Amino acid sequence: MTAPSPSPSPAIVSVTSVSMHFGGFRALDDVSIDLQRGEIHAIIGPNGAGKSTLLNVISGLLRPTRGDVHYGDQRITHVPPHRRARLGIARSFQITSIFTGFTVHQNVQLALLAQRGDCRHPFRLTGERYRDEAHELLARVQIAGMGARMGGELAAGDRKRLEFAIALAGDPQVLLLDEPTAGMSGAEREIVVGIIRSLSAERQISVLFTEHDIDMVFDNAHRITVMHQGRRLVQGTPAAVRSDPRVRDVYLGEGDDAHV
Amino acid sequence: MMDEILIQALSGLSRGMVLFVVASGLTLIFGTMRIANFAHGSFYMLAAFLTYSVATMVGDRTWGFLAALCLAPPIVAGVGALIEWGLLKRIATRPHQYQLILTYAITLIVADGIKMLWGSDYRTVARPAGLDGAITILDMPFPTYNAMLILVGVLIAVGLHLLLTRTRFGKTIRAAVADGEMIGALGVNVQRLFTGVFALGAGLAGLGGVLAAPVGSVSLGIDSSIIIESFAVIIIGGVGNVMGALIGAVLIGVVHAVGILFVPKLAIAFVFIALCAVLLIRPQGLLGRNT
Amino acid sequence: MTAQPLPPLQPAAGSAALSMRTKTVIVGGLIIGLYLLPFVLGESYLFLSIDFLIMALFAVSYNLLLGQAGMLSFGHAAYYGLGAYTVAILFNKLAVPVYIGLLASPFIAGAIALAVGWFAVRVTGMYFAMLTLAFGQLLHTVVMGWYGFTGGDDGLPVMPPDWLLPARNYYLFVLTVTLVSLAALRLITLSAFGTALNAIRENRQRAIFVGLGVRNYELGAFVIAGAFAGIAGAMRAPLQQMAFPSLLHWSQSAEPVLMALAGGIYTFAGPIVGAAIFVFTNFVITTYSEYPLLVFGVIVLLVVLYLPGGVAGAVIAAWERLRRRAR
Repeated sequence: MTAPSPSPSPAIVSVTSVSMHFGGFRALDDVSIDLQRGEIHAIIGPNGAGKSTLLNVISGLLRPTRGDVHYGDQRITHVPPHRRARLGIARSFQITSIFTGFTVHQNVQLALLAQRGDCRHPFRLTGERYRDEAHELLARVQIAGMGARMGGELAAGDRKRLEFAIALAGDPQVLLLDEPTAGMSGAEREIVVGIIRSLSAERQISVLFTEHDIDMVFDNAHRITVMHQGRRLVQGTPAAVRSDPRVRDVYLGEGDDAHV
Repeated sequence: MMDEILIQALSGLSRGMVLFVVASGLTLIFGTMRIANFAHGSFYMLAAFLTYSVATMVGDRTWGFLAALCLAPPIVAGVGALIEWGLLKRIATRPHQYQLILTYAITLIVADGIKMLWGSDYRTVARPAGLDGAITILDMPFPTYNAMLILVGVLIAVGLHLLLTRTRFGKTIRAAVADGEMIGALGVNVQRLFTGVFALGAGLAGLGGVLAAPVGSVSLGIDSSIIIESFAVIIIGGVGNVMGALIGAVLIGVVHAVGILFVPKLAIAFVFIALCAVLLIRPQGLLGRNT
Repeated sequence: MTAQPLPPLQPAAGSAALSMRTKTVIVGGLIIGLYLLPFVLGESYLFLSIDFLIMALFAVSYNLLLGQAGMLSFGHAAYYGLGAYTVAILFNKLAVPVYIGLLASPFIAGAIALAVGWFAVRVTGMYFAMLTLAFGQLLHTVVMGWYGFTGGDDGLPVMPPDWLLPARNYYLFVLTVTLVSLAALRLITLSAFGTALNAIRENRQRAIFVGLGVRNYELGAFVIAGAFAGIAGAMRAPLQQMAFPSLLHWSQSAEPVLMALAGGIYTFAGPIVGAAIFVFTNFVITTYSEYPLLVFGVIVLLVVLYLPGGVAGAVIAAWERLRRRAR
């Protein structure tokens, strides 16, 4: 009945007791998590732990069966995904999602047009609008030289960087990243990780991401949430998570403490 | 008045059963192949004209109708298989609009083809002996043939249900409806499955055409009325769901028939009000899956 | 900001083809040519040209949905027919002259498109095709059945004023209205709104997550397309001096789809070329064949099977091949 009032913490996103049921299957079971301003927060867990479902609940792709999502002081549980994007919650997808039939520049230009409300006007010409801003965003992810190429021609790492540039067009407070380095070469990974770190450090953007590469997580996350079978198992600093015996048990398999 | 409405509803039920037989074929094709097959109404019309010809050739109305019942659906199923194998398969990977336009072109060809072969006159098919009378329900006469249609509709529904739940072919269809991408991974011959489903669907449209021939007129233009109603049925019932098609068809048949009592010319509007209501409450259809 | 000049955002659209300057010259020449046409053409060809202009607007309005937004509507004739009936009903009931009725037609057609689209954009793809088709047929049935208001299947007579009766005058009138409408549609396709529609066609999910309420944009496209189809229909009724229910029929809805596909859906001019092909083919077939649907169906079948880019697409591809060989 009464939604729990948001805690007075500086959390930018707080997920409160969220459950997500698909038929009889509980993808999320009473999960709470909060994202602090400017932090890099990783969600890890074995396949089927509910990591992607949680990102989808926060970004608005899914509406939780129970529980609430707050963005700052605002309850956004029922706010549709495109409004959340306009509010400043940007996301990337596990399979990088860009406009493959647009040029790289047009990808970012469209994101700028959409975020600034130009798209509502059927007679406001697109033309060269926001050319400089688009260029600046591409420069920030270091693909400024590729502006004229088609999105579909890019390599995996460049696509991911373009997706970042699209996400940044809305000047977001929060970035939700679903496996940002999946399927990338080592060099590509390093570039993407560098971008994530600089966004957090320089622009105070909060990053919530899922990841399979454990080393990447422990090297970069400020805090880690471990999920298992739709529940939140442990939350804490990398050091705390690393030494937690429950994590060893369920996430790494019994007795296998080789990597953590 | 109440009795009149009841009899009219019963009459709508029998019409709904024919619609169900046709729409069940369409929903299986749509569910499995993701194609909205415009030619479905053409299969129905073709079978109705075949029924007329077979019945005329045989001469005896009972044996003529039975012969048409045995011949027309398989012939139409064969035509369907040919169309799938010879035409649709070749553009399977192209965007939806090409498949839609291709099946639309078939409707044009079939319509003029029938006009060429049979002419544009209205034809009638006599009801078989024993089914041409009327039984009495609520002190009112109700055509025996329509009563039989209701029975046959139920039998076909049961038969389709058994086919889909008990046979390997049926189980594959259901799997394809639930998840089209999985089906290739399961080692199913997708090509054969599609041809088979299209033939089955066309055959059901043909069966509907045979069953409808003695009650409606056999004429050009019956293809477009049945296809629109069939689309409405599968939107209401949910794509790929035969039981949904049964519910949708009965609903449309009854609503339409009762509506005729009140607003003869605009009864079809009631069908669309039902359609809108379903769309608002369950966009995926009454028995459709939420994706 | 940066030393080196920035690359332009828009790739010189169809850069392989034509420069902006050549395009302006060609379009300008075509427009002048079209205005001079009635002084060289005989009356029967002039009627055919009017038919082409109306179909071109009908097809381009449709392509805002199919080509730009990726929405496969199969009920576009409903709004075309409603435009015709707007003119006819205003003329018959309120004695409003046809050129005033024409001004009302986009609003009536657009309003009904808004009502239908509100339901239809809840679904996508083939489902959307079926739903728009079903609603189109509903509107057809209502027009057929509402004798008192629409004249049912007898249709409603429309009488243009004397000054519009000569073929030459009506041609010039239709040409002007069509060109203004096409210019408006061109602006819309090049606008931020049009770019958003392209984005939705390209990647619906990404469009949502850059902040576009995709359903609202699709609804907007549906209403605009319906409104311009209404204008096309409004010009049809005075041409035939009659509004018929068959203008709303689903077989009429197939025509813009055919024209767009025949000409190519990813260029603005494609559907116009498609309309020319369609009107001409139709004219030839109905003149010379007893079974026009059959012939037409076979042609469509062959085009779909063997010319995936449409007739215009095939011509362009052949032209490019020639040019490459020439180099």
